[in-house]
Amino acid sequence: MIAYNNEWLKNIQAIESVDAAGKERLITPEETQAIRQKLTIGFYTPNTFIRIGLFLLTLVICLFSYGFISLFVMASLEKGLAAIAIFFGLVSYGALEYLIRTKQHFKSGGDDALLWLAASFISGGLYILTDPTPLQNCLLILVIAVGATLRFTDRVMTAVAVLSFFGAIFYLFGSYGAFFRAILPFVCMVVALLLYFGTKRLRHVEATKLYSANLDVVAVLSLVICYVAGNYFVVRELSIGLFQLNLVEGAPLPFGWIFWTVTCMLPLIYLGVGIKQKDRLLIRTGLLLVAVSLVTLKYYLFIASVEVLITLLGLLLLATAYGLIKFLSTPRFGFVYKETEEEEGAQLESLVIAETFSPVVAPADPARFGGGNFGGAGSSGEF
Amino acid sequence: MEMKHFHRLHEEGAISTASYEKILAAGNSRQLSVHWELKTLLYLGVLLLSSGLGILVYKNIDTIGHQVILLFLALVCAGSFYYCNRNKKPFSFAKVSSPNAWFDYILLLGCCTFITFVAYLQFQYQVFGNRYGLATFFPTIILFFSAYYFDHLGVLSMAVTSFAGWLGLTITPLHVLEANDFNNLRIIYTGLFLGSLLLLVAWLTAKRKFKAHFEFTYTNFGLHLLLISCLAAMFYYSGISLVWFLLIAGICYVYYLKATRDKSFYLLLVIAFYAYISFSYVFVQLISLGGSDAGIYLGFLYFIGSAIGMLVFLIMSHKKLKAL
Repeated sequence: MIAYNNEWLKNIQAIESVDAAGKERLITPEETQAIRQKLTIGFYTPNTFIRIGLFLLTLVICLFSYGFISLFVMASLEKGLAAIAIFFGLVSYGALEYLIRTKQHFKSGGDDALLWLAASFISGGLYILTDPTPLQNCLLILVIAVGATLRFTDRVMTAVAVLSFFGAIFYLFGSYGAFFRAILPFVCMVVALLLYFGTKRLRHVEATKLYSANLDVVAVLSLVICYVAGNYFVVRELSIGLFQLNLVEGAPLPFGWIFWTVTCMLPLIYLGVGIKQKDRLLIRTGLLLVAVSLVTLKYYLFIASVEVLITLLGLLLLATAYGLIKFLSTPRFGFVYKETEEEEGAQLESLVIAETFSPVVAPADPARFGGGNFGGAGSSGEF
Repeated sequence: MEMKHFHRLHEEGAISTASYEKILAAGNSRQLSVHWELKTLLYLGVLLLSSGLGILVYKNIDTIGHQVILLFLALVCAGSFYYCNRNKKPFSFAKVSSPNAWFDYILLLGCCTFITFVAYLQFQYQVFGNRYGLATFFPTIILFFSAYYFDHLGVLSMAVTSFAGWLGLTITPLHVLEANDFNNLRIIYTGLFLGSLLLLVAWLTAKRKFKAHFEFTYTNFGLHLLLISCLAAMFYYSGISLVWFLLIAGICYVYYLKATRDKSFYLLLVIAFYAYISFSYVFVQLISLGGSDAGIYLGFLYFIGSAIGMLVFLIMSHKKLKAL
């Protein structure tokens, strides 16, 4: 089912495990070396930066080719362009299969670009030709994205598939009466949870071994969607914006306490279960959503001095981190704090620091003391 | 780690029984390293605390409470530097690894609060009088000093951006294009000067082995700034764009050699990007001189053809660099 050489994909996974074991000195470097020699990988997978370059150049080539062909049929209007787009998508798909079969491209940038182009051209062309309802459009994208995921194990396509799936549910329930709109958040939450537990089940199935990265994407997205569907802000704004719920400015949402409970508790539940099960995916998602919940709370509670809150929160985070680093320097409860030094990580981190901490330029303008000197202030504006 | 891989490899004899047992034991007492999670907490903590304090001082500048806040700020700053000085490893011109991640972020906190503190002193008491430049330059010196003294790449990047700010340029990665007015000749020439200066410093850093691992930071900021300024100059003096194009081509060639020497795929991509943009600009300018419809067709064909050419170039260079 997968276009890439399955044997090589399995070897990549095996070598990843072996490298991890080698880093922890569980196996000797000689063994690692010998295994790397033994498990061949014939893919053409260049370095990340080259991949970015090949990706962009493939996009340029294809888009300009499409533009060039379109120049000749400019007169024949929208439908003609759409037909050409579909044709072009099919050609891209053919090129993609060819590239994989004969040149063994795998995550080379070229195959990524061709896949995304093929999917976008075909779905875009069909959209213009058939003029579907939003629900039909979501289903169309879902079919294409699921197909692309199964054939090319592409993670972005997986994300698109999940989002269009929930889009379909949204439009399906949204188009009926008030009752269906009212239960929409709960339907989304239940479906998302089912999807999450589904991925946990699927992980143990032999046939999905090569899709483990895609299952990660589905799991994280379903956790996030389960939270978002019950988030007070999202429910309130969507009810007003899309379903014409008549609320006075600042008035609370009916049954708002349900959504407040979800907003406050769900991230903590994720975090707690994650810590208990030692599930990194749950822990990280939980941490991220705690931050989202804080922003949501801030939005409605109108805390007088945000800066006091930020300062205290910063102190709290530093203290927590310090305590945990000390506590976990020796392994406890299956968790450990181990320093790992990575050159590339350090370079990237330094750029992030420069971006977020650097003072903004404001020379020779004494009146603008504040504006010029707190680079961090901007990033915390939404807090 | 998937046990089934090791099981298979052990059966095939690729892993010795001793190693396999070690793996099994490790698998049973599986430990999750939360290094990155805690580092993220530290980062967010410093970010929130330093910006929170900054806003606090700014907002309460005319009230009695601001002296308390200021005292707190000073305490945080002094405490951070005191801690770092106590716990740092001995200075060396080679790379000194930091004692732990906590140390790195406390240093960052000290630097950020220091900048706020100096800015406040200038605003309230005009310690630097009307020499506003000095008020930016002084923290820059402290940042550079801290970066070298404590060996911190993040502080070095802050120092470089702060130095650029003193010259009137914004060079933080996400704002370099939007925050600077590259139609302004003064900005362009400042950029050319600073970019060259940073590249010179990078070269000296590597040559004299004076904190040689800082070289990449200087090269990265310098090269982007220099090439962006060259491009801006090329757009500005569109009459003599060929001169600027040749300059860009020369710089790109020099750094192509460096990329090959250092086996840096990143540098390779960067120079390919700038070279392609400048060449395309010159080419499009040339064909638009004709002004006919054929020019449009030619333009499309150019981009298809040139992108294929670049594709081949990248693939070949990748092969060459990997083989070295």
